[in-house]
Amino acid sequence: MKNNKSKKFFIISLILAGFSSFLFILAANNKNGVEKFDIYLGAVWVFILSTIVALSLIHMFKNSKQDE
Amino acid sequence: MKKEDFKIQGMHCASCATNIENLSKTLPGVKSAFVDYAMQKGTVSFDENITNVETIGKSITDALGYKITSGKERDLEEENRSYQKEIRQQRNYTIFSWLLAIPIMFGTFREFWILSSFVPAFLANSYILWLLTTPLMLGPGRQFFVGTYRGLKHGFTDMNLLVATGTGAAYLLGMVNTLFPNLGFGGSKVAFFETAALLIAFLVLGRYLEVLTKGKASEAIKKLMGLKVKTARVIRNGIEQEISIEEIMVGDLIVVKPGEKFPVDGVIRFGYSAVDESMITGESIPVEKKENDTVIGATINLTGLIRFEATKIGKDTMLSQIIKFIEDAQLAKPKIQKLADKVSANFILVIHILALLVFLFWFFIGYDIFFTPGSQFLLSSISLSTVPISVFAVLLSITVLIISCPCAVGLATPSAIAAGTAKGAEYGILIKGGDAMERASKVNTVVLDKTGTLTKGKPAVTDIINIGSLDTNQILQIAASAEKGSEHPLGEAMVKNALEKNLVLSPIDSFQAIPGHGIEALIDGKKIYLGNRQLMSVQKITLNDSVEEKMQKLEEDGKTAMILAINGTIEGLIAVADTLKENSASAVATLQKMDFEVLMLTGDNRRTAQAIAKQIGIQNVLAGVLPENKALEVKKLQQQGKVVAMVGDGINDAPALTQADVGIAIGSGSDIAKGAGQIVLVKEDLRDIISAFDLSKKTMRKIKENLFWAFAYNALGVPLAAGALYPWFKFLVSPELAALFMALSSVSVTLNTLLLKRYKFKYI
Repeated sequence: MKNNKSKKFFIISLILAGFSSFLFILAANNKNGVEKFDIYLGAVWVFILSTIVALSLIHMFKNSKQDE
Repeated sequence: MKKEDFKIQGMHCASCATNIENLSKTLPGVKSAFVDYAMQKGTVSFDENITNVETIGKSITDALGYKITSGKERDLEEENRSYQKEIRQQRNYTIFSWLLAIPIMFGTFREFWILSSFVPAFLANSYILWLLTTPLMLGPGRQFFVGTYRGLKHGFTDMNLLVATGTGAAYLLGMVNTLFPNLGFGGSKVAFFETAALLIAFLVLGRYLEVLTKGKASEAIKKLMGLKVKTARVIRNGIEQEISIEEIMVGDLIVVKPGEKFPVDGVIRFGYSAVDESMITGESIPVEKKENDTVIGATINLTGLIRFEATKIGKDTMLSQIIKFIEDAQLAKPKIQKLADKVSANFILVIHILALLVFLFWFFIGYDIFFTPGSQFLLSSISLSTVPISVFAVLLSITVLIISCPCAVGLATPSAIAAGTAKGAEYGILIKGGDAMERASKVNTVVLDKTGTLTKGKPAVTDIINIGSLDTNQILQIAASAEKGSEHPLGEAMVKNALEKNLVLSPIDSFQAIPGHGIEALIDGKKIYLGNRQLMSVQKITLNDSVEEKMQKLEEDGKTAMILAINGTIEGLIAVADTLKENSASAVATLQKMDFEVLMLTGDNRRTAQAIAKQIGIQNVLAGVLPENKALEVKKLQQQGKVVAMVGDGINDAPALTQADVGIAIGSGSDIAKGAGQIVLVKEDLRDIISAFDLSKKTMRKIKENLFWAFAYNALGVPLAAGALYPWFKFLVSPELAALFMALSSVSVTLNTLLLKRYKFKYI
């Protein structure tokens, strides 16, 4: 039950991170002087950080609800 | 609900402690959990019908990887072995890391300075650098990745994550640049392996230093546990036999030769000796002990052969109580730490958001506006003219992650509390944790109970005045007979005086103590009342002018006058006077000099109280206060905005000790008072109150200094790492410099705390 919940949160975080990377790619494509590799590296970095941030926020929200 | 302690191995920062607390709270049956990072231990409250500490420990180990051992039976040798093992492991990691990191650094910087003259060319090859960095990542660096995986699996983030993202990103970039130099990430010349290697090396060094200093925090407890005796010589069935300390039973007669330690607490039944109690009380002068005197386990019998009866064994001995006291103390978090914990718990999330923002800023805005070719990272070979925009922004983002680990914030408070409580315990001042210290440091009003606190609490009969037909010996005989069942010191003084005069005490038919008033007893069918004016007034026994005059005279001399009434007729007065403790007056004078408002609280009438107060030098006296009203008087003072410390020793002081902001119990007093007090003074010396306040203030100052430095490191480091100064000064902090900076913050906080060890008590 608990593992299922953790998996669900992880998948939600991945979706949110994927969306952030997509937005990053959109913005980076419209920027002058940016190489393809910059976009790849940037997208991966944004994806990693966004996953961590989304996962932490979801758990923080869950914990604060539990405390209530 | 059951509360149990457990020991934790493998915590590396304050976030680890928060994660264990959070996970424990989600387990079935667990009500609350507290974890102390500095002491590497925790306490959990749980429903024993649902779970137990072993199940909780297993869940924590399975989920987060920390090794949990039940704190029920602490095995000092096992603890020491595992601590030494941890030290060895981190030391080996450190040596291994630096053995690899130094050649990696030389290889990377080969073209700089004179390095090319002695660094072989092959070392600069990016494949060789990769080969050297990989064992570093898989060996000492693995702990960060394993920690991150375990945390993320359960949705927790800690410093491992900061390190893993930073070093992982640097290593991956290095790999890509080595394998595909033309992809545009800077090529093989900019491998980033030295960034990953130096990061790991600095972080492992920081972890090694932390393990070393964390051990020092629990040194006091280990020292105390080391005082315990393992065997004892017991006389059973007339035969002297050596048994282990666990087999000793209450009532056993134990033999202790000169130079040996008393194995448990007890009462001397035979012998006379000088006893060194310095390890418990801090008092360096040996104490003379004779028959019927109490002895404390772990103290040393210096001169004579002693046979004593065991009265307290196992966890009831004073030494065990002191150890438990300190352990509990170090787990009680002050408000300031709760705030620091909250900050560091959310800090990692904030830093990841910040790292993302830093990346986006430098990628989309900063690079185009501020970038100047030729500028460099401090302590790095990377030339910014060759680095593409994405790598530049990622590196700044990594540096922010590395520099902001809140380890120093996590260490700041618990390490100082551990040092402060240990220092106090060394000299017989037991402070129940950070919370008590925090409040003790703010005290401005000290309320001192009179009997047993300011005075010796062992009064003696000074006057016996006959009013009716009985002579003084008859008055004393009846009064002492009535008081035989009382534990009140005034009663004990009468009994003692009667026995000294060889008076035979009569049996009593009934006895009842009336707190704050006196006693009621039935002897040979006669109703006896012995007590103060209030008792007589309640019993509607009138005091004539002559009696009143005699009483006033006794009270003006500071004596407590007790009225003896038999069957409603006053027969006599018995005056009892208490004597002041040796250092009461000087302690009060110093407290007043230190601007504390000092008050005396007593159940005695105003005149008696004033007489004693005059001898000590106290102007403010709260006299005639019944035991149940003592707490109320303290509350009244608190309502006036005063931060009150109540000093007392008796059971009747317990409510006031609890009501006060800080309750200070005298160690010779009742166990209930000691339980109610937040500070316990093992010795009878009232000057220890001053030392307790002073030590609390110094510890709190140390905590504030530590928190200031810990936050200052981050406040200074994060903007530097984010490139805030780059637009003006054209330099950036490299990730490896960030790692050094972070390790230094933990080390400087720990060193600052260790200065508390040099604290000198004012009177010792």
